[in-house]
Amino acid sequence: MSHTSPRPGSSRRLALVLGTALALLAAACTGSDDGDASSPPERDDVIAAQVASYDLVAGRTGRFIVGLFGSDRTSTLAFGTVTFAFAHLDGEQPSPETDPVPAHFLPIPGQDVDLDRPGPRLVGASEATGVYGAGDVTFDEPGFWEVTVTATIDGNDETTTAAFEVFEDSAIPAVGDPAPRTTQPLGGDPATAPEAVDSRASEDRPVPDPELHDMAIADVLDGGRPFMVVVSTPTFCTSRFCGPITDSVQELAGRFAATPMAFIHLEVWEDFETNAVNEAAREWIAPSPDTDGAEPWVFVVDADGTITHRFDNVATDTELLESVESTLGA
Amino acid sequence: MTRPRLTLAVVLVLSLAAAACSTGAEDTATTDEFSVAAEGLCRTADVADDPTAAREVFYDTVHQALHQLADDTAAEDRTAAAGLLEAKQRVEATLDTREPSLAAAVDDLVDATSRALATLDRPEPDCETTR
Repeated sequence: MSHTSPRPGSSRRLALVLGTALALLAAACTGSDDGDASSPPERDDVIAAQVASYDLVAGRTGRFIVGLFGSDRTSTLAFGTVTFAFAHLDGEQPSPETDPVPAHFLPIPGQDVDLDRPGPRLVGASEATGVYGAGDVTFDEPGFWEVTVTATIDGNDETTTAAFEVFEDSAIPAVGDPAPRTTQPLGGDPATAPEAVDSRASEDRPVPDPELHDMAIADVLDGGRPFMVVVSTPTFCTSRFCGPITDSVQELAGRFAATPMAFIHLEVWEDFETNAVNEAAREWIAPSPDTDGAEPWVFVVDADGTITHRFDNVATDTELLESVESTLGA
Repeated sequence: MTRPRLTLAVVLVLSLAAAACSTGAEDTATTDEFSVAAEGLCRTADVADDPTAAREVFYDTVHQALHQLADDTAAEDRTAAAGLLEAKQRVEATLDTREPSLAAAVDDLVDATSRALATLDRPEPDCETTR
């Protein structure tokens, strides 16, 4: 089964959101040139920011991640620590910025990166790529917010800002929620195209990670086993922060093969070209019409069927490993 | 795929309008990024017989921009976007395994990138001139 995007109501919502954004910008353009928190980034900024978090919900505490680039977007900021400060943009005046919180470099998995290297500094992506993340961030109100990032590069404090939206609620499963009882097609299912099981597969190329496609989630839940599920599309990922996260989960599957922990991959796309999303993936990352299906996601579920961890967009090898160990040890 | 697109739309509107507000109409960073990526792709093809050099050029100048290009292209032509992402994935896999077929994979990616850029009415890679 599949559904097709886009979903109803998105045009009206888009118009509303863009209208709000333009109103905010108009205020910034006509205001004084004092560098207040609502000012758009200057074009000669050294760095630029892109919020990498998905599914930010008011009142929910979690990790907040931002990708940082050289202003020409050909280099990426890596290593060390930066700071995030937040301001709520809704209303006539932006709220005062929060106190800065430290945000550490989180490398995209699959790299051999020494996190003790000095930084932050702008590097080529072949040296290191990732995001900066602050844990335990809570936004107390829904609406548009702005993060001000400050990074000390070569002794100079460089700042940039990025706007993002915090939602009132979300249907995407969160920590503490029960895991969806998904019955996904498995590898070798004659009724399912190989590329709908893993986008790297085809009639000529086998699914590269069959061990992630041999158990239905519903059966794992019935068996009282903990599991990690990665909802991703190795070929068709369009996130700027895409990395080999499916490969990382496959590596963990080998490392924890002697434990009760199961490891599962849900391919996002039944057919990318026709915009058809796999129903199994939709149950996890786009369970309601107003959720978008951004990917990748990783969820970890305990033996009682409760979600213990979830990672949006980027998860480091260390984060994934620790989530498995803590869930197994609970 | 609504929320990131909404957020992206807001950020794009803010960024584009901010540029107009402060400096007048100019090319967006994305356009420049695609040009840099197209040149980088040609350079990757030139050094395809050296996997270490090819990997460095590809990841430093091409890889991230292709994600953005694919996202932009998917809004216009999902077949072109699919071809781009499939070709990109083959290059990445070949770089990982250091297979001798890297040159052919990069050539396929140049073609797929050209189709994607044409979809967006952007200049295509001109590897002959770059060389």
